[in-house]
Amino acid sequence: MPELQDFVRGVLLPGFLAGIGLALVWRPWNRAPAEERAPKRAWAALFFAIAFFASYAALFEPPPRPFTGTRTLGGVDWTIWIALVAGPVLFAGSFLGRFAVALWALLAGAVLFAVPRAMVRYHWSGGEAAVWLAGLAILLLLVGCATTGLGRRTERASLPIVLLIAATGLSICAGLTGSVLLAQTTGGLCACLGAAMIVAFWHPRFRLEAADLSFVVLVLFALGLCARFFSELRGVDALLLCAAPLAAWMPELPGLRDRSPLQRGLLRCFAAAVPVGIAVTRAILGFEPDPYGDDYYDY
Amino acid sequence: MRFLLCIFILVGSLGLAALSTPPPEASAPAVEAEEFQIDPVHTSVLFKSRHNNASYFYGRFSDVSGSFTFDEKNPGASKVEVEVKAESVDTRTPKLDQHLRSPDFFDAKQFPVIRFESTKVKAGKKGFYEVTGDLSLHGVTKSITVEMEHVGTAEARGNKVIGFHTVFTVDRTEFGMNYGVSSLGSDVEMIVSIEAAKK
Repeated sequence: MPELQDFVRGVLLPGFLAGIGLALVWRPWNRAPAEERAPKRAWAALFFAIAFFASYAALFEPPPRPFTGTRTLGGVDWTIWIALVAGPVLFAGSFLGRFAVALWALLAGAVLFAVPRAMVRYHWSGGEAAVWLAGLAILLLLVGCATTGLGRRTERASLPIVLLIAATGLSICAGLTGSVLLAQTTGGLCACLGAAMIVAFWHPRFRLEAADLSFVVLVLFALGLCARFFSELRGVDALLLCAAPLAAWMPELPGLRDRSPLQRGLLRCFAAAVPVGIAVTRAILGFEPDPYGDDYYDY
Repeated sequence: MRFLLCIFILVGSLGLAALSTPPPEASAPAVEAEEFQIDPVHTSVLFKSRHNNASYFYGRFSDVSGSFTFDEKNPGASKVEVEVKAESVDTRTPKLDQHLRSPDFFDAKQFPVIRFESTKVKAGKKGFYEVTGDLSLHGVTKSITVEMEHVGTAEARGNKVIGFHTVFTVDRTEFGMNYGVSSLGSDVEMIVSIEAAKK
């Protein structure tokens, strides 16, 4: 059963680290005249990566180092390491213009190669692995494009809220379908997104850049893979969670485009909440409490 | 004539000596190591863990396989290999089994086999053996030493069967299983009782 110290380590710590980092970086930029403002950089990816790693290390322990031969890394271990590398890489990539896309593709390849590795090794035939990996690559590309595309259109805090809804949905579904560890790990990313949302309300010009969004998509996708393949998250629910950033395009439909920014933002969040809400409801309904009132996370 | 007689006596005595001297195999018969196959029906792998820091909780694994070579006269030549399917964890409560298979505990999809392979066997006190080997669990391989009791040997359905029993403790955090340490503890006691039939 998660305790208060888990909340402090898994939510307050990453939220504080990401929030303080973003607030410090964005404050001087926000004050400077527009023409003196430095080009937008993926600061959020950098701070999210640090905060996410810190929360996992504080909750459990730092994941085993890869390539040392002392332990076979699991999907969650790879996710934590890829996230830690992806933050600085995407931050650096935000200085490189078009090359940033190539970096994202490399990181996406790393996620698809490393995270579902056990499925390829033990559970899928060669043909099944090819079909699954191709399908997952298309899905990741679709979700990535949908999310980064939203970055150019969204109003103030609505995009952090959309991503926070998706991440919270994944965390709840993972917790209800067998893995508290995955729920808590995802909670670290939720805290980062929550901090970004607060900073977005505070600094009107704050935006999550394309590289920041790429980072969030990669990490959420990797955690979703773990929940789907190594825990008991159902395929339909995983797809519903992936649909959240796609649904957030709703205000771009003809007839809704001309609404006020506030209305569009609210509509965006509501649209994203619908598929996530269905997935969470299905997970709640599928969760069978123990007849002795001792739910599984107490075991 | 005397020369022939000497030759005859010499050859005869050598022949007698050869006949009276048993072949080396007969005087010190080499005990052959016998190979056994684990009987999964009569083999039990149980675990005992704390729950809520208030009680002990038992579970089992229902899919166990393996084989071993046993040489009673020369224990050093013995060898043990046991494999347990992590997916087969059984606590009589499906929901709990599901949780134990998840990444919180055994992570059975990613680390489907728990394996023990001996590297050294030596005789201990009477009827006991000290077995050192590599235990692979949750993606980590560590050397452990367990004391195995030779419970008995018998004939069953025309075949030789043999039984061993051991109880040992594993610190699960050393194997990267860090979930719920505050309420479940880190030490898990393993109770392994093996019955095997000669191949």
